[in-house]
Amino acid sequence: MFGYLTADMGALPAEEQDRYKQVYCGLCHTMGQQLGQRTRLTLSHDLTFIALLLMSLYEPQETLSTSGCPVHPLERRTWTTNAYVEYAADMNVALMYHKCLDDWNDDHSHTKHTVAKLLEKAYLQAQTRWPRQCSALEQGLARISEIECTPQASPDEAGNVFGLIMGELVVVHEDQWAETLRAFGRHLGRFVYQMDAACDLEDDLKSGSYNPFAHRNLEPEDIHSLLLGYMGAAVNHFERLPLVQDIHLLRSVLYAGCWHRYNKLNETKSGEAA
Amino acid sequence: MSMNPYSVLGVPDGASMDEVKKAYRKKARENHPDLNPNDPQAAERMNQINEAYDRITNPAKYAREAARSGSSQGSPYGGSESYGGSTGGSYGSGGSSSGQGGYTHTGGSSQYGWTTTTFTWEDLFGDWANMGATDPRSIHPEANAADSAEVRAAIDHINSGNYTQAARIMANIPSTGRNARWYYLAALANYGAGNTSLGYEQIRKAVQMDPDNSSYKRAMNSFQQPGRTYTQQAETRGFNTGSQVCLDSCCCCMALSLCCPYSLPLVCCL
Repeated sequence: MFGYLTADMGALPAEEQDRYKQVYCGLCHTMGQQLGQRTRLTLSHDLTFIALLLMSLYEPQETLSTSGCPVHPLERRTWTTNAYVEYAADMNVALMYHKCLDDWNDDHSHTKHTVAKLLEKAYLQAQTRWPRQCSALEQGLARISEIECTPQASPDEAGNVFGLIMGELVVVHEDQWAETLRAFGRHLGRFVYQMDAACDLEDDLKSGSYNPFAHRNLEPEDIHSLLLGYMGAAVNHFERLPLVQDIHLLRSVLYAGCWHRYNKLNETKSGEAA
Repeated sequence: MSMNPYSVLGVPDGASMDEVKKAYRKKARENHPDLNPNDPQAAERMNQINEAYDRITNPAKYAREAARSGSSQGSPYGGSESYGGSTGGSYGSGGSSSGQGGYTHTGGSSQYGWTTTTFTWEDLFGDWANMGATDPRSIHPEANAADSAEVRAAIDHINSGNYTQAARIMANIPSTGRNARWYYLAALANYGAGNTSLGYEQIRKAVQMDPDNSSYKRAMNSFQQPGRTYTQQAETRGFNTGSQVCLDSCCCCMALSLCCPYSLPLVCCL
């Protein structure tokens, strides 16, 4: 379900690539400092996008720092910290914690259980700060797990629930932007869930795993059209927010980057068919 | 608001959305009460600026309000929104939820009583303000002589925007009674209720069963329209939704990490 909200890096000018890295690296550092070094392993592109979005909306004071990087030892990286990177760090841990718990409940994966345990202390801190979002994650992901085990469930329900979760994650303040942000998040969440299902469909059909697109009267172009529609609904709300800072970078995620994996998979398929 | 919202923001009429957004931020910076502590009028000016922005970005909402109240002065911001304490550059009023377009919380064990089963999807995805003229939710089917009482009830619900109720009624009609018209109406109901892929499947089936029916074809077209509009918008903005995969190694690493969503990104690929 994760990693679809990425920037189309190859198509971006250098300063936008740098800006993206500033936030991505900032998220990594902030997780380390705020929540413990082990949480850095769960770093996510999706939360980088959410941090960028909220930073663009609220334009917080940013602190830029430069330091070495444990993963890129020969480079020095510039990274940003601010209130919304801190928020995204908390959300990243919360999301990963609950996802691991659900995976443990579903298939008793010991790896996931271990990871959840490692994240628990950090999660409890995030939960103290953001109880509404964590409650949404907890209940929403549990509901999705239920749906995924229910053969006669509505095929749209899991995606809609994930939309609800995302709607809560993108709202920090219950202010004049909350309604638009929530609506944006809800459609974005539907997109992410259904996109993940579309990309996993072939594998899931082989393994018999749950997939909302399995055994449906839907052509590939229908699925494509559905996905375009979900993102279309999301950007309608996105474009109502007064975003100026980093707007091209944000749009590159919503109008291009989010199709990366899907396009690659389809190209591979048509390459094989040819 | 009797003033022209574009004038309030200091832009020409019909300025582009990006210009409106820049102008809004400039005005907000100049007039924010936190930045003008000695100016008692700042909060009132800020409310006007917020309303002007909202009128430009949500025109259908105000048209609906005006139609409902029968007056052109209808505004949900009766000047009573307090300009509460803001945190670091927030332009909104702090404190409780506005309750607009929200969903009902129900009692539950968690503090927020948040459950996933009590929402009606038309509340969440109603998006009336954003509906294009070709959106499936703007299709208003008419009952015909052959329609059963249940189907008539469902049609009434569809036309009143009670899509969840309509979908339930349609689902209760046994499969022996499911002709092309059933699929057509069920598609409209399910789309409106947020069961988008189910609606899609159903409209496809309606068209398959009755390929000469122009209403069904039009409906199918309208299901596909949001996606087309989005693709056009992307192109207008200079983006390609079907972009070629970049062969730069950076993107390949990202694609690898994307392929393994459940494994931890032990290697930063940027």
